Amino acid sequence: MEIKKEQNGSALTIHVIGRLDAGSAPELSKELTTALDGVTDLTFDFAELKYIASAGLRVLLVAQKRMNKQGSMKLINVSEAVMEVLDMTGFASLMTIA
Amino acid sequence: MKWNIQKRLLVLVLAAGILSFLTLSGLSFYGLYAVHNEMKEMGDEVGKAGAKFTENLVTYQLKKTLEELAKARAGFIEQRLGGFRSNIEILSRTMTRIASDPDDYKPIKLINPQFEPVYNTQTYMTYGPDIKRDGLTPETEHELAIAGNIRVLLESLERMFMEYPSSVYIGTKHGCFICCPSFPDKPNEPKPFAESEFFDYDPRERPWYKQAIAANAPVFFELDSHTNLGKYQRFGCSAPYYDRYGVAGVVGLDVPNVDIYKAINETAIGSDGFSFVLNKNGRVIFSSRTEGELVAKANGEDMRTSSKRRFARAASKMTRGESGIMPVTVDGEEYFLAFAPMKYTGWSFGTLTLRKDIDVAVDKSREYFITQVQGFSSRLQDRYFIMTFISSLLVIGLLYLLFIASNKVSAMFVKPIHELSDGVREIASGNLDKKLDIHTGDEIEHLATCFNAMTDELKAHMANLTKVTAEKERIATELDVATEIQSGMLPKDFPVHENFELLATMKPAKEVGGDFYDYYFIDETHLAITVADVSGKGIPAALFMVIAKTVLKNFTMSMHNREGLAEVVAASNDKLCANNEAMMFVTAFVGVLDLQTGEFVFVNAGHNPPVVYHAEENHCDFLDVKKNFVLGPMDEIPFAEQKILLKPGDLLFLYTDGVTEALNVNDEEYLPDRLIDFMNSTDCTANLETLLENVRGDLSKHVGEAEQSDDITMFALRFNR
Repeated sequence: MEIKKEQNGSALTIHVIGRLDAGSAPELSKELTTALDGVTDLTFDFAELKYIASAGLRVLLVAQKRMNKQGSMKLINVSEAVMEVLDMTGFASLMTIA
Repeated sequence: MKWNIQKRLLVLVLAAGILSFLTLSGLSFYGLYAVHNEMKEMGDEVGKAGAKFTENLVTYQLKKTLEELAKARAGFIEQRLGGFRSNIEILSRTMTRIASDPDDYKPIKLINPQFEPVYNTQTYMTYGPDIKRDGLTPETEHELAIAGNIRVLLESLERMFMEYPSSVYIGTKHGCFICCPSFPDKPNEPKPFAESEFFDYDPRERPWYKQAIAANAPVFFELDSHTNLGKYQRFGCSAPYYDRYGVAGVVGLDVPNVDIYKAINETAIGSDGFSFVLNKNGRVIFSSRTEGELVAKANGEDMRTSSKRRFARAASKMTRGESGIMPVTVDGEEYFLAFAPMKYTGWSFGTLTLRKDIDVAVDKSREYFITQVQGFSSRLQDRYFIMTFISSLLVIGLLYLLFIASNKVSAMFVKPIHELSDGVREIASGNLDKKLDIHTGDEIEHLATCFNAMTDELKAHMANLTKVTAEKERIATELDVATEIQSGMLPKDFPVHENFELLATMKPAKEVGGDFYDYYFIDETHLAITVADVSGKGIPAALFMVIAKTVLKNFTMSMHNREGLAEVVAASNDKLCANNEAMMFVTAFVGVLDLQTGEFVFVNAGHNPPVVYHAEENHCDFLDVKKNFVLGPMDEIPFAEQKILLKPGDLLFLYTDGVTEALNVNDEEYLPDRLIDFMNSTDCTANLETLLENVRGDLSKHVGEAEQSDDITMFALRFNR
């Protein structure tokens, strides 16, 4: 998994590339604990995310919970495979997906 | 060829030392050689120059000496002549007093040799031709008798010369001759006289008389016209005397030149040297030679006109009263002629020295000098060889010392390296408490310090490693325990019942995961089943799984029959949400089967849709599930409950994403489509063990060599009524 960040003022876009599974999820989690300071507009760009496991979902959940307090969060460019997981687990109805 | 450091150091130090030594030695030898050559050359030059200088100096000195000698002898002769001259002056003054004041004297009658014999140192008188012719007047007789008074002085003067044939005499203006002779040859016999001497001898005709009258002063004259008395030449000195009328006569001294001759003779230098006296006319009047060109003889030639040019020139200078030294040839031999004038007489004294004698002296001096220089040269040579020898010995000795020193130095250098390597070997053999104790203050000490630091770090690292390993081992053990707990919590006693069949397997991944399944009877006719997957892995997942499983079972058992499955799930969710700061969650498929009717009520909380096999159609489909949210993150949310009616032979196949998302080596998922395709191709009426075996088989085909990344749970339930 690879993580790319684009900061534009208080808006942050995070590109997650590859597989977000139990092995790689802690990395993203760690990244987010610091990266989200002062961010009001968080965007996850999943254009190149091939797979998301439940551990990855949990990271998204933590981020969502935090962003509920300090601003908003949305997912963009979600692929079909990932969308299917989000859909199945009920995450799709909980999060803003553009 | 491999050398150890000690040998290399040795060779290095030695080579450097030898090189320096050889360079220095070479330089010193070269310097020594150069100095030696320079000295030798200089010695030669100094020898030559010195020899030349010596030659010139000696020649000059000899000439000077000869000239000085000539002057000295001339002076000596002069002095002697001065003596004669003062005697003559005394005689002249005395005669003048007698002749001027005849009244003061008594007449004295002198011996007349015509009648009486004359003995040695007796005074006699002859009368001369005038008185013989004219006779003797009384006045003249008286005058002569008064003049006889001079006899006392004459005899005392003559005694000064009586060793040699000599005489002191007076010639008067009358032609009389008063004389006091000495004849030491026959002193006891009377002096023999010739007849003519009695009357015919006229002193006034003699040169000594004439010259004195002409000079009106004392004169010297040569007696070469006289008989030569043996080898001695004679000479004389005469002076006029006066009476009250003028010149009254001449007094004279006639002596041999023995003293002068001796002086002349002694002056001669060398084997064949001799001396001579030249008079104003250039004639030789004295000579220590008795034969050859330079003998004194009557009417000798004027040397100034000699056919020998050099001698003639020298003679000219001599007669002019000059002094000097000149080379001349006499009797065919080369001579140096040194000469000096004599003032009273106007004569010149010359002394001749053989040129070869001088040359011999000069040669001897030069040879002496050259010998000295050669001696110096050979001493130098000797010193040079001794110095070279000593230097060589020194160099060899120093080289030996250098060898010893180099050996020691290199051993000293290498010693700490040996200590170091010994120490390192000991450390390598496992003694990490070994400390290298090297204090050389150089790179080796630094190396030793580094080694000590490395040993310390190694020790710390090993301790740390031990600790970490122990920790890891502990965690692994704990994980194993967790895995066992997890797996132990899953029911394995599958019920044998006439209305249904049930079989489940859970194959955990390497690390403990979060899959679990459960089944239990709510009452005699209702069977509850659960398949769930907790997010994440490890201890947290295992713990959450235990909680989830317990919570679900508790609420199902207590609430299902009163409030229905949806409320059970909602309540469980609320319970799981409490204090779930970590946002753990679980996807779960929960269902309850009525064993009598076949009605199957279920809630799908974010889980994979199960496969349902319709026996009548012999076909498999995914169960159409509503998409409820997962359990755990969000409380107070509603869950939709669904129901289907199972007919006998129908089968439910539940699974976790470990199945559909199983990866092969190319990271490709197994995917739900493949699952449903396989389920449709396989025999779903087979007993459950075989069925699960077949699914696992197809899954294995897909996965191949890839490592299992997630728990794989399969759960099959067949309704048989």
